[in-house]
Amino acid sequence: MLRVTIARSIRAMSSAAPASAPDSDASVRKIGRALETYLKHSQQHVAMMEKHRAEFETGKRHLAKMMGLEVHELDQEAIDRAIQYLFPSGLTDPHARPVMRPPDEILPKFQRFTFDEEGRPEGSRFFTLSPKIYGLMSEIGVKTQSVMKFYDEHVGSRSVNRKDLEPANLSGSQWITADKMKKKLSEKFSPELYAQIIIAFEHLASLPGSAIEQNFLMEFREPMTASTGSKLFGPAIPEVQICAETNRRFAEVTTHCKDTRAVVKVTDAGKGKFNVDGLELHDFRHLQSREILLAPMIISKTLGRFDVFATTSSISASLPEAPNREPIQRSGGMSALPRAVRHGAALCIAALHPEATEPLRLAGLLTLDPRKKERSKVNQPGARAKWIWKRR
Amino acid sequence: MRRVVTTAIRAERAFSSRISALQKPTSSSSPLTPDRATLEKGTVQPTVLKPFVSASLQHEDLFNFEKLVHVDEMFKARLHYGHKVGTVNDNMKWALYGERLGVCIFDLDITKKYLVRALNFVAHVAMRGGMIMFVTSNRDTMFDVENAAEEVGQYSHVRKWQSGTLTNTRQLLGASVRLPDAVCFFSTLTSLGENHPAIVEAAKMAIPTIGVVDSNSDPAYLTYLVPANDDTPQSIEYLLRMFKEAVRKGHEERIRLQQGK
Repeated sequence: MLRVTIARSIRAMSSAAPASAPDSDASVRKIGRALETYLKHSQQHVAMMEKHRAEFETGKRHLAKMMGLEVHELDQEAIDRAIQYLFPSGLTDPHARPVMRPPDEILPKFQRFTFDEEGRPEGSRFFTLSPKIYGLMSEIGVKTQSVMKFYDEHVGSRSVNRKDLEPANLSGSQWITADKMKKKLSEKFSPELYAQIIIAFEHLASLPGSAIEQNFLMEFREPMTASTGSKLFGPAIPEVQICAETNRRFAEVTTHCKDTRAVVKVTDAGKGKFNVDGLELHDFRHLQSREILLAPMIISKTLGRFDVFATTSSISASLPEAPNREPIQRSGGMSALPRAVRHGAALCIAALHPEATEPLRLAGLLTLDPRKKERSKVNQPGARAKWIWKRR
Repeated sequence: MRRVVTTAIRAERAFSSRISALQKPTSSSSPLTPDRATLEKGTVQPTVLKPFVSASLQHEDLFNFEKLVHVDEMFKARLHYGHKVGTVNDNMKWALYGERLGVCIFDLDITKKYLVRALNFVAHVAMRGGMIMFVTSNRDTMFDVENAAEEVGQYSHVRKWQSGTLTNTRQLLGASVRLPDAVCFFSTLTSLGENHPAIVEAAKMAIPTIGVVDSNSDPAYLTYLVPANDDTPQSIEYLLRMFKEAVRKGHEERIRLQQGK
């Protein structure tokens, strides 16, 4: 520092009092090289984007002329089609193919920071490069310490609620995913950091006394039940309808098992009757079939409440086949046919009687069985079996 | 109570009068800026530039930290404990008083001298609106260090050091940013016993550093040393209190100078 008075050196290093700045030149000079460079880059970026936007508009007009279209007819879909036509590309990776999109979508974004008038970046953890996530991590750490202290001070005493000395109740919920965490904190971070955060959260939640931080923990958890409705494998739970004639609630769903397709209609306020292709329950001679058909009612504890009406057909019979092949007319046998009906009935019961959804799901009755007969291969007697081969 | 207030006011007046006295050029004969020949000589022999440095910077203890730092307080905060004798770094022997039960003991008179020097520097940086970054790699004290930095509106880094944080900001952040003007290490060693990577980065970027160095630490590349115990929460608490006070004093002085202008 050269010989200057303190007041002068302060003025030279900052512009803490912008109102007192006599002219704009001086204030620009004051803000320091780093901020100056940042502002310069920012201005350059804005100018570059302007240029590219103008180029894009011109290019669009040229493209419209080439394709014999009006400019206003050329939306993004039309541009994509035109580019695909004009520049046919055999590259497999879609990102490697030629594109024409607005520059704001494809050019790298300029990182914007918040500075104060002296060029100091905002936030005390700025130099950790991920200030938000490390801030959250510190918050968890501080809370962990306070929970441990709280427990040590109050264990065995009657002054606090006993429930407060237990671990937090997190049943029925799960930690929010990395993507949701990124959105919540509006910051990008690596999977390792996410794993660290989850470990820290798990540790905090496992401590006795973490019940006092229940609200904080629940901010970063989401209900687990959301996954049941949307993530059913196979057909979804149908909508409940009301029969106009009898005024009874019913639900209808189409499902399949092996080669058997079943259209099942379950009606509420019935007598527990079955009608499967005109057959009643006692017409199924085999005990296995009867057990399968009754399984959804047994699990949902609604025996005798619902009437089941089902029609079955063969899937392969309805498919277009080679003309000389004789179509198979019959649907499934004593196992596959009742199983197809069972899946449909379970879905309908879940719709009519929602309390039974979770037991039915846990019993696996709402999940489609996707297995199919494997096709036989050419020059082989079956799917896997081979003709006997002998050298001589 | 009244007596305390009057002594505070008196001290305040004494401080302002000392500052205003220092602001006046001490000798009108020497020019404000050195000529070219002197500058060239200064590259080899920096002491020739000393007359050109402002008087406030030449003052040993402008903010009167000598009164703030007490040896008995440092002793109570356990600043004098070092590590086992076998781990001592050769370059730290100058700060030791001796050894007791196989543990190094710091000479707190030396520690006080160096602590006052470091605090004076921190207050000067704060007075000129500089950014100070508090760094530690000690897991026991990291939250305290973060809190202290937040309280005084400065920066902290207590997490994994991404290499290039100071030297390669353009690449890591996507834009050039203003770097800290001083880095203050509350423990210079990582958990592996290696030097903190930020020390070398700060040295490369010519950022002055303050380091709390224990008996097993390597003082290389650090500008201002504070030989003291860096492992005990109590000692770090004490040092944080001192550094916070230094930043506050510098900041108050800065506000007063701006208003008085």
